[in-house]
Amino acid sequence: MIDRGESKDSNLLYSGNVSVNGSVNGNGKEVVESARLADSVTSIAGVRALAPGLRDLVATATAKVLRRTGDEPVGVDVTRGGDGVKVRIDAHLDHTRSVAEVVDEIFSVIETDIARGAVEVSGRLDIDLRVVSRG
Amino acid sequence: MDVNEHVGSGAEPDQTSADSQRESDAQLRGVIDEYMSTFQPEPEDTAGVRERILQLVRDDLYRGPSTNLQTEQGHPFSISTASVRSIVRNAVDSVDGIRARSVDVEPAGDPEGSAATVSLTVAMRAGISFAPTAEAIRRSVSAEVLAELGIPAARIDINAEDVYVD
Repeated sequence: MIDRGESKDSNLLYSGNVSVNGSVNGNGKEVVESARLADSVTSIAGVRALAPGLRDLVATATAKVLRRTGDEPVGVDVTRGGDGVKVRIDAHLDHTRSVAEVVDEIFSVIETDIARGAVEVSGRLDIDLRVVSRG
Repeated sequence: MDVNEHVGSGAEPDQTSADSQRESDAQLRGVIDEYMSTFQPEPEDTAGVRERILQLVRDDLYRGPSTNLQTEQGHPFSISTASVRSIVRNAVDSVDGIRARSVDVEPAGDPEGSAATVSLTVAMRAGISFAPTAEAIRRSVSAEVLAELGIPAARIDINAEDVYVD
């Protein structure tokens, strides 16, 4: 699904909200946090892969429209709203465990990561988990 | 040969889907706005760039409808309806002389999504006795749904709508 489009300048990389000159803007923090959670979630037995999150889809589409190259997708979206933090995950699972077992472990891992400060949460935490496929 | 023993659930997937689509669109526009605020595209790239990005993302984002469930520990999740149907279909097809036709899985239980209601139509091989076979289908579907999803099937409605000859 990741189409990097035709590369015009390989120095221009898109990854979440990292701006074109490589500096991390205010929302770059969310990208870093997303990457931390993605590493934790993909290490869970039964998680085959993560589908690109919204930021990755936009990054890829932007790169395609503007004929630049894209970066590796993160697979987890951490976003902050008015009332708290939303963590969105689209996961591909394998057959080794039941879906509920894997879901419970994903929640547990995210809560542990948050407790140790991998993501700064003030207000409500909303985990939006979707199992895209199994197999 | 209708052996529905229970009344179907009253879920409203269309409304959920429309709400989800609106939410996704709002999020997409938000993310695109963030991108465009940190990026100055070339003048020749700017014509309709937002709509072109949005269209590409929508194309990638569409992955079909979802079924909303939750684990015994109370963790909510959604799973592609196609994946759930595939689990049920395999369980039905594993019963000798039965072929799955349509499969519908809706969230059930209290709280909603802690169990699932399964409604399916099947084709039967000619000469098979329906009542014991229906029980075999129920056992198979119930075991498979619990093993694969980790969610119990609270109700399994079976409608035999066709008979085939090998």
